[in-house]
Amino acid sequence: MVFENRDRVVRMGRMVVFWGIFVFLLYGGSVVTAPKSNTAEAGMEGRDIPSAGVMAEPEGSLDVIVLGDSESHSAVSPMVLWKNHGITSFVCGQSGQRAVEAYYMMKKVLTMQRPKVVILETDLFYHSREWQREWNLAIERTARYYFPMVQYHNRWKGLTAGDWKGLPFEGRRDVNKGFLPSGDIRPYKGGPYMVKTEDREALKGTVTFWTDRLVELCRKEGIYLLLVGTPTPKNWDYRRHNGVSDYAAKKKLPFLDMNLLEKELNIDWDRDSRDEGDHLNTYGAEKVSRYLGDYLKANYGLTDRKKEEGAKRWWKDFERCEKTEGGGDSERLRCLS
Amino acid sequence: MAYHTALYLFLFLPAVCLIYQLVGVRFRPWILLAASLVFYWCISGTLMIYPLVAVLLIHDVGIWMETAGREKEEKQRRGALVWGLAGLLGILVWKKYGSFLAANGNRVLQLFGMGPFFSAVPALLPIGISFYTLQAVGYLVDVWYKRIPAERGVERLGLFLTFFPCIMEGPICRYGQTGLVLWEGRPITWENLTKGVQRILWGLAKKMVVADRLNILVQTVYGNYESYSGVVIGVAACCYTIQLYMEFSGCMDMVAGSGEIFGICLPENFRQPFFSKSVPEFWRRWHITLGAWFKDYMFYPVSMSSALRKFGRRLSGKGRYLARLGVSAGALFPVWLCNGLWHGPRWSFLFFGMYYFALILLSIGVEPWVEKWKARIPIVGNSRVFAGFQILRTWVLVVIGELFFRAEGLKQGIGMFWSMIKGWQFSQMWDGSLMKLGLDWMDFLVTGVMIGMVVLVSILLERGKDVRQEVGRLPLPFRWGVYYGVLLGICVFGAYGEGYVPVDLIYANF
Repeated sequence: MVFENRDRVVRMGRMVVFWGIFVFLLYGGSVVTAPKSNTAEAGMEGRDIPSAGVMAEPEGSLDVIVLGDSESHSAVSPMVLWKNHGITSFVCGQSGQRAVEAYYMMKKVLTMQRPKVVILETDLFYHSREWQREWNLAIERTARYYFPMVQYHNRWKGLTAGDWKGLPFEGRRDVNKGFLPSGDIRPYKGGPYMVKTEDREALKGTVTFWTDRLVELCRKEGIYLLLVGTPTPKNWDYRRHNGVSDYAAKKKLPFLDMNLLEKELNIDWDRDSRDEGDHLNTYGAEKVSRYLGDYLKANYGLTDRKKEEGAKRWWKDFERCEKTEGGGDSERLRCLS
Repeated sequence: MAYHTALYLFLFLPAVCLIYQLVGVRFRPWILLAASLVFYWCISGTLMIYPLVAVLLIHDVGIWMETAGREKEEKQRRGALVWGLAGLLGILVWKKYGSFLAANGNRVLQLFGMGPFFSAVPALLPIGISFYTLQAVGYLVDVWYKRIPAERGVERLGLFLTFFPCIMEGPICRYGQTGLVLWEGRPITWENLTKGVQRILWGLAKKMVVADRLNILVQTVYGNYESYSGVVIGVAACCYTIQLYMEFSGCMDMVAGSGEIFGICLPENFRQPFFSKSVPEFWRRWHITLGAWFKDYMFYPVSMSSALRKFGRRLSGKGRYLARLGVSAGALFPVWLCNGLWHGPRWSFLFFGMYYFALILLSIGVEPWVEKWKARIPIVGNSRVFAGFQILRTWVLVVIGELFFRAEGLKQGIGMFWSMIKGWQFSQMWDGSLMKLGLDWMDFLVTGVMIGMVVLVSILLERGKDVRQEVGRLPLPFRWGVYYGVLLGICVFGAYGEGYVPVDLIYANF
């Protein structure tokens, strides 16, 4: 019996050591394979490049972080928020960002920043496929967060000496602060889309599970979480508004649905969309960002940072940003300083 | 929730293992049954009704046959069997072949100027229907032949038919082999756990490093086959054969590993098929449980049928050779017809079955001459060179078969085969054509290394060595080195994430 127990302890000990070494190897592999900068040349996935720019911002310099899918980086322009309100913000949204990705993005941001407000763009709530695929994705994204090698393993083909040395991440500042400027105009002709109804489109469990984590994380860190629905006739309707409203009420979160504020925003669907109502263009984003700036100032007491020390850098970025306003993706990527 | 997904490997399987181990022995089989039903529901939802109907059907028909055997006449027993088989096969034909039959029926009617009468909309297919139906048929036939007693516990038959590691891709089990073991509730031992995990990882490496990587090249060529010819098509067919083997055998490793964790030894489906010297031998080593099923439940009954024996007797007047050939053809034809169609309702699958029927019949036909020739020149006949030639010949024949198997239809298969022959130019091997198919030289290198490892393991297995035991005997640093090599190999060289499309299990669609 004594021998049996000793055997068991030895086996357990070996197992712990074995998997411990494996975790260490994964960590080491992650140090090697993780891109050393937020550029395509450094091996970063295109979808991650704009949001990864947040890691290049000076520590503790951002007041507002925006999370969400492509609606977020099409509708919220940090430079408009800066120019009009002196708010320092960054859009950490990604195309098709899922709730799990928003959660891990926030965790990553918190290693560098202490924002006062986090804005979660609500189109993300309905970016969900069949639950098994979503859970597979969630497991993979969790693994990616802890071990970037899971995401960047394919870089083994092009590892450089710098990668092997494990050089630290040297981010390049994104002058658009994660915003995707687009001067394209393709009008939305579908007419009113927010027709009042009592129907609601419920949120899926895979979405609420991770959003709940995000809510908890923000509460734990003393950060205000604001749900914002930016105007998107192609993706939004009153049923979705009701679905998110229910969640917001349940979690006691403020929900600003700009889809109901067409008049206040003065949205002109002949001019303000780049793809027939799916996403806003720069003109639409300016209106949304101005309104959002007023709202943030009024409700969260954000101060004007224009007179602070770091303002010079923001004005410099602003100048470069103005030059590229309306540019597409390629133009924008050139704006990494 | 296929076996290679994160959901299965990191959530479902560990959760089942944990609950299974925590509950008492007599509850363990129930946990497996519940897990199997949850697994099935996750994949097929309400279509779960079909395997459940099959379970109830074989349960009642089995008991009916046994009771009838004791108390009533043989005719009633036979009637029960016929009803049982008709029910099982009827559902299979309706769900799997209904639209194919309807579409072809409409075509025939249109030849006579009559409009399409049948709806050819493909029905939603319950996952694993081809696998569990064969298991269910096997059970009924075994009860009919009194090889096994009829099972009274419907829950036991339920677990036998729906056991989650086997439901998607087999192996096709016999009730006499696994039915009772499944219900023993054996504890998860340290040894079983480590062996099971090792086997799962090996299967995962085969699928993720080789099969999913080669899928890019295969997809490129098959998806746009008109643009390619000659060597490129030949290479794509070779790559598909390797992909299919690595994927299917890798999945079987994951299946066997999952079973091993619970102390359940599932039948092997592969035995180094690429060492086969002939096509019949290949089929005794490839998808073994399917071949064995057809042999036991179709080939033998047909061979022993009075009609075929009568046919043989009639042919024997024309010589022993012809009689043998004729009887073989009579017994093999339905086997290969069904083997082809078992893979799905497609003409190319039918052709695939007939292709092997022709090859096997040919090998039976030329056997006397080959034997004579080998006896005359034994040095050549028994030489390694000749064995190598035989293996190579089998490879070529198998690759041609897989070329048609992968094609979207018979037309594509014929088109690809013809353009491979017509446009054959050896220069395509080194003029860079192969590097334009989605894989670079580093991909080929990684694939080659992994294939080399699989070949090495296959050689050791062929020599009767237990590879896992051999690795287990190595000193700890080497042993762990091997394990870390496989684990990190999957993590680093696996074809997943950015740049790769997740590849569903191929045989799960059959």
